[in-house]
Amino acid sequence: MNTAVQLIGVSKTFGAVQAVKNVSLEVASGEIVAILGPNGAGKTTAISMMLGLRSPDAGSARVFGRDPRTPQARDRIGVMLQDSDVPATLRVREVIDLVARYYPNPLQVKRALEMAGLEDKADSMASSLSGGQKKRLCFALSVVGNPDVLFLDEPTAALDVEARRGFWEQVSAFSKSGKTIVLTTHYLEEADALAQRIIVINRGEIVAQGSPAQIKSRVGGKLVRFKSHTLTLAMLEQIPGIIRSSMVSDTFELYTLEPERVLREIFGRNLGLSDLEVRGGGLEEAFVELTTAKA
Amino acid sequence: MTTATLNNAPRAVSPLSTLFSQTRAELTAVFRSPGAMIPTVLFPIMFWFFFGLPNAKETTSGGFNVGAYILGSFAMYSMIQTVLFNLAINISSERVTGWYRYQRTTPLRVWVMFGAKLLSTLTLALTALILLLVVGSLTGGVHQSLLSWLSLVARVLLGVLPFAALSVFIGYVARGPNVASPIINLIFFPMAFASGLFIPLAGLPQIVQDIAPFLPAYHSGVFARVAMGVPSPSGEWVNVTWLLGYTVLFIVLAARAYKRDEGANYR
Repeated sequence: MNTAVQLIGVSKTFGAVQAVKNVSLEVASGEIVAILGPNGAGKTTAISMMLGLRSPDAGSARVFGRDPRTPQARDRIGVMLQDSDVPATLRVREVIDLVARYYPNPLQVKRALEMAGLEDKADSMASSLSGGQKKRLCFALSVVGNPDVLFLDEPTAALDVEARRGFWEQVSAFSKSGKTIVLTTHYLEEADALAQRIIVINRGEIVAQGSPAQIKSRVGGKLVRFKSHTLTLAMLEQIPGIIRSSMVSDTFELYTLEPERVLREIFGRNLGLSDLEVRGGGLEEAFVELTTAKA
Repeated sequence: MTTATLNNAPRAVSPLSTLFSQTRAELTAVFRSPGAMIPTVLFPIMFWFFFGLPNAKETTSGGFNVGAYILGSFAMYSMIQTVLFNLAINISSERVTGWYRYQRTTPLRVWVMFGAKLLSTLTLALTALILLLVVGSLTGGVHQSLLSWLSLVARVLLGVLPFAALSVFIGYVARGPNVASPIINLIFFPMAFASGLFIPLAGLPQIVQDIAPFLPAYHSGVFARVAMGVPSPSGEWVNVTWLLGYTVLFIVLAARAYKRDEGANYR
């Protein structure tokens, strides 16, 4: 399998903040990888180094074995950046046509319009598009060069649920043609919907990686906390669905993907408990858990 | 299978054809912005009708046709205005909208990106200039030989060089067109006035006359008017030296601002 994208021991510091710490990763040709992490985890910095927008303080980035700043590497990548606007006074078709001409082997403009679902907006001014339509235009720009690798940096950050699902369908359709895709996201659901492999980063470091199922079992759950005088850890171990549990004096903390089922079991045993708290869904907390669990 | 997988043999992209399509897109965008077109095209012609035309048929004490003198000044004014506003506003807005950042991830070469900005700005500026010269010569009865008109255009292009560099500098310093535009207004109109581009220096207070020879637009104006038969008071080489000096200064400033932007955003 060919390697499409590589970070080799890269670090990047901005002022006093070390955004990325000695990260190494490889994305195989044809693979779809999601880099998942909370805001400020270093995802955008990592992807910026893959794109050659940022140069690492240490280590190196490679796209098909080349420095991403070389024209040969750029010919083969398509990019959707966060918050990048398009020239307001050009029509949708004109912007796509302009970008297509940068690439040696572009798609037809019509095809890119179709892939982004923008056929009926082709003659609209870019400035007249809604937020979701602008994102779709950025997607059209990222694919029109017929790239071998597509980089999507938080592609659905500002979209509503429906638009997000529509976007996932477009990306999936593109990936069917054997393209490599690297995306960053802070939605576990998005990583799960699109990627074959998820790399979780937090505070600039890779804290976990694996298949969506593996990652979901580690960060997709809820933290349940309560006090009980009658319960023991041994009793909790008999309840299925608890990924890990801990006890400090009379306070129990357990981590589960199915809090409803687990709580039903506990209530069913008629054990006295108080101060019940179910927290989470929040990835940030899950990442903190994950990081401390690893340490 | 979709066309996405049907790779034809890759053809190399010629930078010249990209330069052409990029320039065309820049021009399309600017010709569609009334905010850029109105001051660029209408202001110089409007000023000509206000300040130039009423005296166009007169002759100065030095024996020059006033119409030709003023048209020479306004040609320079028009050129400086277009270049100064257009480049700075274009660069500063692309920097804040992220389009600049996006383009840097594409195979588009940086020199093609800049070349297209320069070419489209010059096309726009020359369009405005030619309109002014046609309107000016027809309404004011300013008759010059073809060679003089061509010389005027060439001199105006040289006279605008320092302002092209200054504009790039402002484009890299200002965060967005809403910052760039007032900065330029603040610099440009007082400077154009104090350099004798609107009203000949002789009609201005002594203090302004004393300051003018230190301003780049003064030397641009003097240099441009030579084409219209008005000799340079100091000799043309003095004007050219000042213009080149200012060009070098502003290029250094622009290069430093560019490097600072690179350091902050792309290192």
